[in-house]
Amino acid sequence: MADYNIKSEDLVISILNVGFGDSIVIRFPRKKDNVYPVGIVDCNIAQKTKDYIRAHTDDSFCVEFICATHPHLDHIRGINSLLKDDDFLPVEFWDSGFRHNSATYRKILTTLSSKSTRTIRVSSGMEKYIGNVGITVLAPSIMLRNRYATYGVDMNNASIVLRLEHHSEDVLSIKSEEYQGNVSKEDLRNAGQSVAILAGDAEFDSWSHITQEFPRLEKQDKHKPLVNKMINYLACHTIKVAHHGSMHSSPLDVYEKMSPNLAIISTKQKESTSVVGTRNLYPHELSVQALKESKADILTTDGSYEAGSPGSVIIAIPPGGKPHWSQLNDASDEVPEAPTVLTES
Amino acid sequence: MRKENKIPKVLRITIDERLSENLIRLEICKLVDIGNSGEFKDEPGFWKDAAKEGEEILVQSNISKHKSRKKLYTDLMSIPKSQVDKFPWKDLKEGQVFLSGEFEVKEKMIKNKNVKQYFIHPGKESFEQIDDDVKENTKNLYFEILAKGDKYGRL
Repeated sequence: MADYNIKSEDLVISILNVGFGDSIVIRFPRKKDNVYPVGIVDCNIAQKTKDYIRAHTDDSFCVEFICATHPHLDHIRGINSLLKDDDFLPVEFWDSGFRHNSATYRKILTTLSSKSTRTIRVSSGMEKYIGNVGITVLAPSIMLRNRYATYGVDMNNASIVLRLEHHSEDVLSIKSEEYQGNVSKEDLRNAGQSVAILAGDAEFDSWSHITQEFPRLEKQDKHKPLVNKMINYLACHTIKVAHHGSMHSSPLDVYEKMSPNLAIISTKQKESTSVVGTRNLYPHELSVQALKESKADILTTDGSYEAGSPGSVIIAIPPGGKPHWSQLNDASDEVPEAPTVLTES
Repeated sequence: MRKENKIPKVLRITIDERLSENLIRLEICKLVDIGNSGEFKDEPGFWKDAAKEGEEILVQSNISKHKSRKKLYTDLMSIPKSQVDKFPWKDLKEGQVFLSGEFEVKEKMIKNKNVKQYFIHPGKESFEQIDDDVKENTKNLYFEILAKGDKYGRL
């Protein structure tokens, strides 16, 4: 397959190799003033994330938001360092509202209390546009959020799940012309082609609400609805697999609705720098089987799947177009060179 | 032999995530050096960052009895032998917070409320679960942050 040159108007999602944990950098299309808006979803290793963002944007960036999907240590460890660095202080801080008792989480709150960043407690249905990129929050469901105070929801099920779609036109055009004749434009543009879903550590409870709140509605010739509308918010090209490929997070029927081409698992197999115990857990075989069943290409940041090599995974989504991707070859403690060309395998 | 001037060790331990029945990730933070006496609090300024970036502390249950005793969670969390039975593996849950080490707890009435205070006590071996207090403080801080938009005129 031919190499693809990353363009400044592409939406570029970088799932960094940071061991067992998540650090995801979203580079939005460059603005007219040559600044790249950037979003950061979780941060396990701050220095690598910072160095990568600088290199990836020619040091011309503005952090629009930091999203802490949920407050487990492997997702928030580096966030306080980002917040304390004025270059990386975001306009907005998104969190799920699930409060943790850890010192790391408390330090983040304390830093936020002294900064101008706006903290937003997000839940499903929230939408935001940055350029032509639409961001929709798929989870946590408000129904789960209202149960945080009880013992009914655990931290993983409080995870924020984000859907990013790179449209070929701006939101005003999309919203003013949803139909062409009596056919949905979503149908015409092959929904899901330019979509990536970042699934945090969402587990079964969360997915059950996502599938209820974002159902797949299909056009049916038989019933001849007034508008031939097909909506499938879960259709996507790329999924950052939930919870490092845990078997509790990956229902097959959800993958069938998503029908992803590419599934990325951020993980570290076999060993950890632990004081006691080794991990050797993730991804679980059940999860891999479900992804195989849905015919997704699988990549792991530690290279453990089918003896691949470890490295960050970069996905470039052109406006309204089909994504391109490749895997770099950085170790978890190395900063990869900023990619300019993607060589698909 | 000259006696070393050892810094009393106090740890703040959070059950961060139960990864499986037999595996838990801990967040362990050391108390900053405040000398051999004095009060400390459960506030960020008193605690060093958790293990350095890229490191994680995973503990296994007592099932690993064939391994050396040193590797058990009760040792890593420095649970005094007299209290080990109070904290069985199955009762460890995400969000629990413990103070462990050389300190003592004193209680004081403040505004008709019984408030726990923590003081360094070299040589004493203590283990105290504190998450009820942590929860309340974190909740207050969280909503203070959500509400602070007006202060900066950004909402």
